[in-house]
Amino acid sequence: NDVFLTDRYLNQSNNILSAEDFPLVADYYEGLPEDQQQQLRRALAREPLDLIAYIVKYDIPFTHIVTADYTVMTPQTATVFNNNAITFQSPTDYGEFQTGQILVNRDGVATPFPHAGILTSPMWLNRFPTSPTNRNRHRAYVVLRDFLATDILAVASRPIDPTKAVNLPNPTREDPDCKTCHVVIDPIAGGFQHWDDNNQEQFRPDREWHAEMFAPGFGKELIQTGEVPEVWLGQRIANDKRFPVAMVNHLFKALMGRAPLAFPKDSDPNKYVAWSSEDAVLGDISKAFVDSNFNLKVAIRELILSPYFRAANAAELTEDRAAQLDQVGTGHLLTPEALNRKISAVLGYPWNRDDGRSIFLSDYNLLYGGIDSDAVIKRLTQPNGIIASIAWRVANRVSCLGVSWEFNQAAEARALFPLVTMETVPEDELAQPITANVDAIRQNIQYLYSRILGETVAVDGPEVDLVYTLFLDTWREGRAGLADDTIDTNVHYTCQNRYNPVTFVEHPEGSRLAADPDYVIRSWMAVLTFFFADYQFLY
Amino acid sequence: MNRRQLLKLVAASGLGVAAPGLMRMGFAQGIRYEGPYWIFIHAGGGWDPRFHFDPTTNIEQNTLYTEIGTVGGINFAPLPIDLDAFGLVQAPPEPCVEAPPPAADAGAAGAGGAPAMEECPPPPPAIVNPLITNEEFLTRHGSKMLVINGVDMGTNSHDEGSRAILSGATPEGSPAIGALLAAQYGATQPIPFISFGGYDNTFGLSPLTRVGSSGALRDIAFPNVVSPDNMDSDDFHTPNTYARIRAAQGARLDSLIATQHLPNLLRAKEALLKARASDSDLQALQIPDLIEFDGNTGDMERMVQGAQLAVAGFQAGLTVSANLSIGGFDTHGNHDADQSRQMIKLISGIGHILDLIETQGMSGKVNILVGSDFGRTPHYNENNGKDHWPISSVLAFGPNVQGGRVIGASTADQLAQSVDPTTLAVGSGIKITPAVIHRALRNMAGIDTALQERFPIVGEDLPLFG
Repeated sequence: NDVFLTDRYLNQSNNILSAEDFPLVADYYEGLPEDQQQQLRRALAREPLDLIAYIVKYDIPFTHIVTADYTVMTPQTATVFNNNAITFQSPTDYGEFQTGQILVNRDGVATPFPHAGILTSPMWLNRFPTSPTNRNRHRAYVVLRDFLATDILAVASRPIDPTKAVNLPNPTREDPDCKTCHVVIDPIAGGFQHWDDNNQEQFRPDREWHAEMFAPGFGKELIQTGEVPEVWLGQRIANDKRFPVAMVNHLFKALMGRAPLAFPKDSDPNKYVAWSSEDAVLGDISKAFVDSNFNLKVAIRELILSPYFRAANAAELTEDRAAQLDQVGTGHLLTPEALNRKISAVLGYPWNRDDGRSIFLSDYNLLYGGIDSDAVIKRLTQPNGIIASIAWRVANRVSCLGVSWEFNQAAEARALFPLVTMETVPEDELAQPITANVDAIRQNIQYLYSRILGETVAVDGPEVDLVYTLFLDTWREGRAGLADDTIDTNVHYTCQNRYNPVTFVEHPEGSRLAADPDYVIRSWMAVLTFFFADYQFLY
Repeated sequence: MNRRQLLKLVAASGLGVAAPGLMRMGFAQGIRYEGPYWIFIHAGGGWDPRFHFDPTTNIEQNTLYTEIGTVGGINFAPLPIDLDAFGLVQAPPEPCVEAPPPAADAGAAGAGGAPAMEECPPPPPAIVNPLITNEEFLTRHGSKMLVINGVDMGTNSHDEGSRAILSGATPEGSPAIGALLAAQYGATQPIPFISFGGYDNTFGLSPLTRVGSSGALRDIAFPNVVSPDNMDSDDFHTPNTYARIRAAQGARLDSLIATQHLPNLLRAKEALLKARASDSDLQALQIPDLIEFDGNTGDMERMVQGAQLAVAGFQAGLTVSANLSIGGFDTHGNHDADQSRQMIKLISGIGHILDLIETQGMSGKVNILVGSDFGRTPHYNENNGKDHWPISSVLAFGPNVQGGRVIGASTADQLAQSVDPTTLAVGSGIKITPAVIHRALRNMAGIDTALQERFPIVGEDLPLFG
């Protein structure tokens, strides 16, 4: 979605489809209960992304994203797309995907149109629209950028002098300043000639290309009479040597949090080493991707195995060597979506509201640097004061609910505190350490380093010492407060386990966890906040 | 004294009452930035200067108005405001007659057939028109405004134009001017550069912040408070525990930094350390009640709300610069209606922002620059729209800007005219481009030489801002 930004339509996908081509959409949508309406909107908006997921899941050559003569549908979207010939294993399972073609209504007959993967997706066509004067040039720019790793604006960037252009009858073909770019993009734009200028996803096979523009084609090749433009274009894109490069570049950015290095602009030899090393690795990965018949999993595997992803540290480096290794290792602030998944994976359940929405994504997405695929399409990759504060707030909120929920489970069912109980206090009434309890607390801290941060640390090492000290000092503060009645026996109302955070069913009165008479819950809350705010968790 | 005791003392002293919308106040731990401040407004899509302060009566270029107005020596396009189209016409109230007391003839219809009701509903609140004409704008704010006409953007590309107007450079590689200013003056501030849209690439010079709702800001400014909008709310952890957690995390991050030798990973850890160093400064932010406008003015409302949050950041000393944005100017069809609608909201919105700055006592401290990707063609297309055209305008306001004047001009064919490099007289000399404007901006803002040379802008120097 970061590339195609079609999530812009998550809440409105049903509204943007042409009623003429898809006559069922309005009535079908209105007839659904609200939760299924949401499912349908999501499925329609995510159709191009679900096609990609399907291609990857079933090891289909990734070139199908621009050549597939099908798309994927759920039972709901098949209805909207006028295709009742698809057989679903479970017609009420809206998570089941089957391949099929989108059919459009022509004089009452459901008629297929040529498919070319994402290039003919209604959502993609809307997200990258055309107009009567733009003539698909924007789509050509997007094709070059997203599928062929070519920023035509960078290639053809030069100041425009309107005084020259006004003297030429056809500036885009005759003005050298304009022609440089248009000779590349206009033929590609011609590949989309059969789509309406205003109703973006409406197929219009009757349309002809503009005689005054460069003829439809790709590179030096022209689309011949009888060829289907979008299908022809998709095949040329898939066969271009830049296609695998573009796909590996997208994966690189997704995993590393940055685009691959550009060729250095200055003569610094260290920058050249940095670039050429990375370029060589990416070149090898692109080759492996092609050799595997475009199996995207191969590219993902190779990237993860590369030093750019795996590098965690190095011995002390000279200045030159540091410059050469400048971009090795990820150091990548997790996106809100990835962090949300991580929180859920660590807790063992989704951190959601009772309506199923993610708490993190609904409250903090944009503030934490996320995108809305509409007005905000570039992520923040560096933390600022607000992101740092959100991280603290999220850590506090998650620990608040998470700890009491955990201690309200049997030890064997706990994800975070399997080695301690509410009675595992570090010291007795005489402030003497209880050895067995201290050991159990330290072992659980060691376990949390592994569970939450993926770190293997020694139970008697400095990392555990640091967190044990935090636990102990917090517990001592609480014990003193309980003794002189300045601290409540119960945890704060918000942090009590009164309901199941998975089902949101309230616990019976006697099964709720509110009391914390030995200050164990609140001490572990401090520990959990520490871990959820840690660099290794956030990056 | 703890935070809660302080808040109660502030409330009792009346200070809280004096600041509308004040919910919580805290101490800034870092050094406050005292100004000047900067707001950059991007009219997204490519505006038509013929519809603001570079008007023409040439019907090839304008079919919306027939005369040009002038206030204080600045020409303006007298765009008509159709209040009905903006949803700003008050509907007449439904006729209603209150029923007589129960002992009388209950249920009788009133005169004119209106249903009798026990109690007539109160009338709807009066619609307040938030829009002003270009003439009204000039009357109130013209003396503060510098108009730069005939700006040659050198491009018809949205990406290039958006980048050029807010960085001075068309090709990639230059940071937004807001980021440069934040790097120069806001190195220790937690939110030195806030963006609500427009080109905001920082190239790592300074952290960029996107700000959403004011409610979320309150939550974030007080991460240890369970419900920050409730002055009596408890904390997740006791203050001592929270301090202890932060100290432990600080020790942990210091340890990770001390042992990290890979530059990329070291930078990442240091960035988190730096972000944390000033995050408690957010407590100094006095979050305002956000303004709401009547009518179909949602995008203008969001732009002005962004300005409110930016000004709150300025006042708290946490922010140096902010990007605001309003779109809808890419009018390839139906130009007159759509472009004028957006232009009216843009100009009215700028008026509200200037008023806000004044009421907050910040008039002598905030500079504003307004621009767009490019202009619109000097003719209409077959869809009554106008296409992209590289000649545009820029508007500027602020204590460092000599207002009440127009620099530069476009020709009758909407081409850029050159200006004399010394007198700025229109005629021969230098074309005004984004590079020229940003070179002048950088110098006016005092961006130091080393920073300018890291991201040079090649161009001429003109004394644009007085």
